[in-house]
Amino acid sequence: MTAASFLLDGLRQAAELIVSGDHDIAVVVGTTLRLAFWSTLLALAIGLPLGLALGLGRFRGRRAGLALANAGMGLPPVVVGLVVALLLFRGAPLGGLNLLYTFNGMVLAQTLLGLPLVAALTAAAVQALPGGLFEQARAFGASRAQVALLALREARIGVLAATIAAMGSAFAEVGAIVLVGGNLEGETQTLASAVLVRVSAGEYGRAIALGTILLGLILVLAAGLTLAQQHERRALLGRPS
Amino acid sequence: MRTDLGVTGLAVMALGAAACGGGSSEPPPAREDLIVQSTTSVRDSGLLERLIGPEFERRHPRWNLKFLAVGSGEAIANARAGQADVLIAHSPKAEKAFVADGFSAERTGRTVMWNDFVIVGPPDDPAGVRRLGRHDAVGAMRAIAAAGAAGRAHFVSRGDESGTNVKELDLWALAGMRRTSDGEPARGSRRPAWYRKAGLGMADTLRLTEQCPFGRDCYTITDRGTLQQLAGNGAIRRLAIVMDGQTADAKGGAGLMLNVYDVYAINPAKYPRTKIAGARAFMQFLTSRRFQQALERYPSRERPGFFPAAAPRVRLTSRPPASLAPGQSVTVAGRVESTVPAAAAPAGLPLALVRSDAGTPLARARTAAGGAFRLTGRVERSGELVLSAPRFGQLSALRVSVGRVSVP
Repeated sequence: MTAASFLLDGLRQAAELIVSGDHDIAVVVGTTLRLAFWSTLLALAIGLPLGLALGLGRFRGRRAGLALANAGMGLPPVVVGLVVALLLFRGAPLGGLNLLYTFNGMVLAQTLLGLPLVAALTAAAVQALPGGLFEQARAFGASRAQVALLALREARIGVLAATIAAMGSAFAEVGAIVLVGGNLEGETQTLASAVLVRVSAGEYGRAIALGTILLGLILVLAAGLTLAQQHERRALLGRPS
Repeated sequence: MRTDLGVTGLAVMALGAAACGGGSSEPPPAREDLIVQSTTSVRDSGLLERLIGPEFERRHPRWNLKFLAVGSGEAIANARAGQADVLIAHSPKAEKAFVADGFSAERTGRTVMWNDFVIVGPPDDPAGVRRLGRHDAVGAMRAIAAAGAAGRAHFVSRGDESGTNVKELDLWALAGMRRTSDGEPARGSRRPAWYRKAGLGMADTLRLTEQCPFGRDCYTITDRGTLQQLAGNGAIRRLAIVMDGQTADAKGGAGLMLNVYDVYAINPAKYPRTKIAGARAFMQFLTSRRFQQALERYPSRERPGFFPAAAPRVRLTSRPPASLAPGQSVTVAGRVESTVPAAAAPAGLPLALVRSDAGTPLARARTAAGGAFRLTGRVERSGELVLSAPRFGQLSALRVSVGRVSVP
């Protein structure tokens, strides 16, 4: 087969897999979506407060924290995966959790990768807000929590961008989750890591088919979030400030 | 304020709803994980998917197989770190150290199968390997090195301490080359320009070799199983085998290019959390007659990727006659040998001659040096005679029919 025919064959296979509702593919898609969901949710749960604190707080070490979060956006996934895996080995400090080669272990690793994205992008978004806004709110007697919520509301476009970034990273990740999850078929194999296996076995057509499905998923979810984001933008622009 | 923040929440919830509808199925809670660290070729050749995974879990529903396909070097390192119940490897020296350091539950591993290493390169063979070392691996490597020095060839190394990489370094040592402290060919204190380290798995290394970004003249060493898998599905089309079928008079002997896959249970004395029952069940499965017979036909009987090697083979020189007078004695003689070419025949293997329907043996004997044996016993009743032997070193139990006798 030529390279072009591998591509065409892959697209044809992708269509067949989607139309036939192939069970194995459904499992892999399910794992991919669950990983993206839980890791993004956890990254948001920890990253939003962290980002607010880094962006608005006035405490020692804030700049260092901000620098760390920004550096964290460039965390090499393979290194994160390796460190998490070694910590989860039997007999290692976290070995008792039984997380290595499990779905939850992958969520842990992917959350660590998504967390700096959410924290740094949230911090940047709230820092871009006009400073007078918060002084006014404080003058009206707003509590810290109320100021934080106000900041999140005003920076929601940036927060959505952070969400999209964390989610996209979860869909695309291979290096970290293969080391921690083990790339086990039917358990910890995601669309991206399944592509890796098919390439190793020389099944390029199948690899392209899986890759096409993955791209489709990313496109649909990113488009949904972008629509929500732009809807917000219009609402903001329309409102007298 | 709540509605505004709700958008992010809604988006995340939509993702969650999609995730839940994704058809995930939780395994039943009663199952226990059994972690197998294995060399990649078992997965990349399709063996895991077609012959091992589903069948093992069907026969042993208690175990949830976690089969990790990594290079032999990584597999052994992970097993040494206690991150395994079972190890499958094909790196004899590292395996010997693994056993010597007490990581194996049994005193030896169990041999499962073998195939061979071959050297591949461009079909027009600019290094002249076919002429200089068609069936001589060390000669072939010398030819590639000489052509490399003359600017006519490149060698692509896995460079990842896999079983294949270790074999490659053995060959450079046997070739008497000047080597670096890592065992790689050296020019001065550095690697020569014709020696390229890929840091990739076997399949990717083969593709890189075929593509040959350094010129049009790349060679590499590969196991036959991966090569046939990739050639079979069209991923490799141009590479040709320039060296295979190592002969006994070639340097290193006939066994030099053999690639023997062994399986080990991790020693619970080292790591108490080892699932030893599951590990034994898995070893039993790989060495079972059913799996071994399936290997012979995979992916096809004509071009198998692996050859079964669990049980020894018996060559008979003297068979029992078809019919006997009552009480007359029969002699069964012959030779027991490993199915791995050039492997030493088992000496001291306890053999028994039994009637297939009765438990007490008609005769017992141990094999002599070279695997030769001679069993003589009296047959009182008609029946099928069977030669049997227990598990012995790396060899699994033997049970083979030597023919039917009828006694009037």
